Amino acid sequence: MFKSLLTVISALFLALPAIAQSPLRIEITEGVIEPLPIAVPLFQAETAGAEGLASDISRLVAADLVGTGLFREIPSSAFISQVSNFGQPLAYPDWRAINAQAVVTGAVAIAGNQMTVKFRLYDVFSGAELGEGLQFAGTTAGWRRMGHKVADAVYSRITGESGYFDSRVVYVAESGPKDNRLKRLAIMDYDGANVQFLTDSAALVLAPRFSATGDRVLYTSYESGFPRINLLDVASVGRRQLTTEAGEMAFSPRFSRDGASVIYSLSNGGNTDIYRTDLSTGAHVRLTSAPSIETAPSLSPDGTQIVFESDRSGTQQLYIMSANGGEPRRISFGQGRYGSPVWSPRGDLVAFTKQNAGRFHIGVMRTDGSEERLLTASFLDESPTWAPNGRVLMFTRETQGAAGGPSLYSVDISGRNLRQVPIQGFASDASWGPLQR
Amino acid sequence: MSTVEDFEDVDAPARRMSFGTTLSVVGHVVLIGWLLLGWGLTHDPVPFDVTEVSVVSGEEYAALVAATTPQADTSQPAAPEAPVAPEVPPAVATPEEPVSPLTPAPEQPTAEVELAPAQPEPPPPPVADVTDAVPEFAQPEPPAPPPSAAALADAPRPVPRPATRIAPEAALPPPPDAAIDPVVQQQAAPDAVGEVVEEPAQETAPEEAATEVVTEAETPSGAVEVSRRPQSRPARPPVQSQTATQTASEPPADPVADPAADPAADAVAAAVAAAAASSQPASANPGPPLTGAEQDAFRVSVQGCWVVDQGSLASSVTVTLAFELTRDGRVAGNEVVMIGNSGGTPGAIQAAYESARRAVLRCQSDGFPLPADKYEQWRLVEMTFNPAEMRIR
Repeated sequence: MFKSLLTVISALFLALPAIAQSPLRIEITEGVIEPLPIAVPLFQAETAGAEGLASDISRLVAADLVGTGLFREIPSSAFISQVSNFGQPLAYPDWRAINAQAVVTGAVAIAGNQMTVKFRLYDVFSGAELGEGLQFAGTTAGWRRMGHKVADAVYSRITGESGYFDSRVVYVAESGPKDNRLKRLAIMDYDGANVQFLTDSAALVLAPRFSATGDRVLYTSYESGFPRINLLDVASVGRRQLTTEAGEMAFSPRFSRDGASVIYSLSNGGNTDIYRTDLSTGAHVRLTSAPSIETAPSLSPDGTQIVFESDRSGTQQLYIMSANGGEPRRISFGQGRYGSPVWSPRGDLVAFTKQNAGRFHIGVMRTDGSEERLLTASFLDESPTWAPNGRVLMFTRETQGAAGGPSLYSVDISGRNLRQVPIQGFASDASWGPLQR
Repeated sequence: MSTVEDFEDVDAPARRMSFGTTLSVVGHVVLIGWLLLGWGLTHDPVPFDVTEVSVVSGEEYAALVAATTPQADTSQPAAPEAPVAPEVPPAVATPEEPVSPLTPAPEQPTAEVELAPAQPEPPPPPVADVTDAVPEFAQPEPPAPPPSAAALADAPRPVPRPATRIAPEAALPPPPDAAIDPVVQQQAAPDAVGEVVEEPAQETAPEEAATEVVTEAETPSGAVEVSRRPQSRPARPPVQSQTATQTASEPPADPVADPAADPAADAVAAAVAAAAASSQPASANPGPPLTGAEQDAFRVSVQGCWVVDQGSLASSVTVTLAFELTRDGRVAGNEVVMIGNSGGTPGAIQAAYESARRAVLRCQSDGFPLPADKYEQWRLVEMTFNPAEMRIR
């Protein structure tokens, strides 16, 4: 009776290895860090006269992608086959042969001052399209934005994260000799193009900050002789002074994520603390009350916490507290002084300026203060600002000497790909706006 | 065998004490199953006499065992011992770490890399009067500004050059007329040191690479201090080799019981079962398992194509891919499916999957370097891409 049962069980156990051949299991833990080779053949002109824009846009797309440091463009001289028709299927073997891992093809059509740009992205080695083809419509004057949009889509499909190319930066444009520098607010595309000035240089302006939607800018102005916070509408360039709690100096403002309130520093009788003012009701709330200097507040993306700098321990360090005030906890413990913290849009990191041993650094650390990494080092680096996807930091680097001056640089959070933003003249105190719609 | 008669003899009197017999038989069956699966048992099996109740005839068993075991040792009783491999393949004895040896990155005079354009001061150049430099330190000094006082204070050691490519092993810039060969398994395999292939006719070299990301702020020395890292998990290769060993030596463990199996193990099992069903069951001898060196060569040939974007969200995602290889070592139908992943948003997972798939498909170019005679051992591959050690921290 048990015999048959045992036979079945034993046969089952012994037969298992015969039918189930386990696959070879390999674990890869080391890869390489190198730019991804990508090909951007010239976009097709689908209407007469579109050739120039087609060429410009494809160059811009390539420049955006290469500028991230994550891509390397394969020069067109290496192409084996040309793309002569946007609709035709890609000859994958030809692109495989030159080791292109992705290919962007596109076409441009113009009708009057309206234009459309469409593109396709191919993953060469899997022999398939990455996502569907997309088409953007706009005006010929805004061709750069359309190029940035294409690049953003390509970037996001390959990296899985949103891009940052179709975004703008507000900054302080500086001119004149070092002892009499004229400063005014300016706005530009992230790559330094399309510079527009928002204020004249009559009064000293400092530290502009974009709202989360990119339609308004807060900045500190010395129009009255004392620092005051101004609010400027980007579209109309209309501006007004913000009514803050009474005090001698108000500075270092930032919008809340919803744009409904402003957090800032207010100095009174030698003591500086952090306040919040509601823009609609005008109500003020004092968030810190220590006798030390608390300034440079920056909100977390979810709006629940504030990171700021304080010298309550004797040196300038970073602290995090609830957005409604309360007991802060210190997060920076390394050597040197830490300042101008900015919470990453991803929420996981805080960027900061660090001064140590006579050098300035831009660095990042986790919000619990761990894993501090210094990304740059120079005579003077300061004022970091995050790209909208939390991947890149832009900051001000000032050069030494009488002829020296500030300019804007960007660096990847891995510490690679340090680049100067090409702007005419001196520039400082950038604030990176959101991705445009 | 007389075991059948023995059992019949016992059976008649056992009707009186059927409870005891039932208990005994059930207990034995549980014990057999436990031993077959090898949970926690490596040595000294309990000296029980299961041989008495085995009713599988000798030729039945021989036929079954012959299908999977290279040498059928039929003299052994039917009781399966704990999986102690009689002839241990070298894979178990040498758990090679595919880690580059701790040699400092060689200094090489190269053209200025594009990492830092218009940089006011390059990374502190190696100071000429340093005495603790590595012996082969001679290098034509590029025109460099005198190091600042701060730089002198903290950078007296040789510094790996920033290269545009960061790979597990540093590589000198290739000779100008050498072809860049992504598949460098012979040169990069850690245990293939002795068998460097010298091909005077065709010169290939790995692409120039450094071992570390050199940020402007920190100038890593290449010494042990920068490579210290919390060992987050035990090394995987021994586990794999043991799995392979079990497969070939004795009754292997049920693959489903493998603790390393992913949540999608059922998908794998289905795929494997389907594949096994399509092939002739139990007649093809899978041959000996892949050696550690062969597995390493395979691993290295893929990791050279795996581009990791350190700052991305995808760099926190581990993905496991499954694919089938043809006899010439290429991915059948370019079909690579994701059977498991951990960590990250859907977008990051998709990006990680596509990146890993690119690595597999790009590096297969002329077929992966796998021994043709062991095809059945590597026909089905499950490959896990774990960027944990590449992550910036």
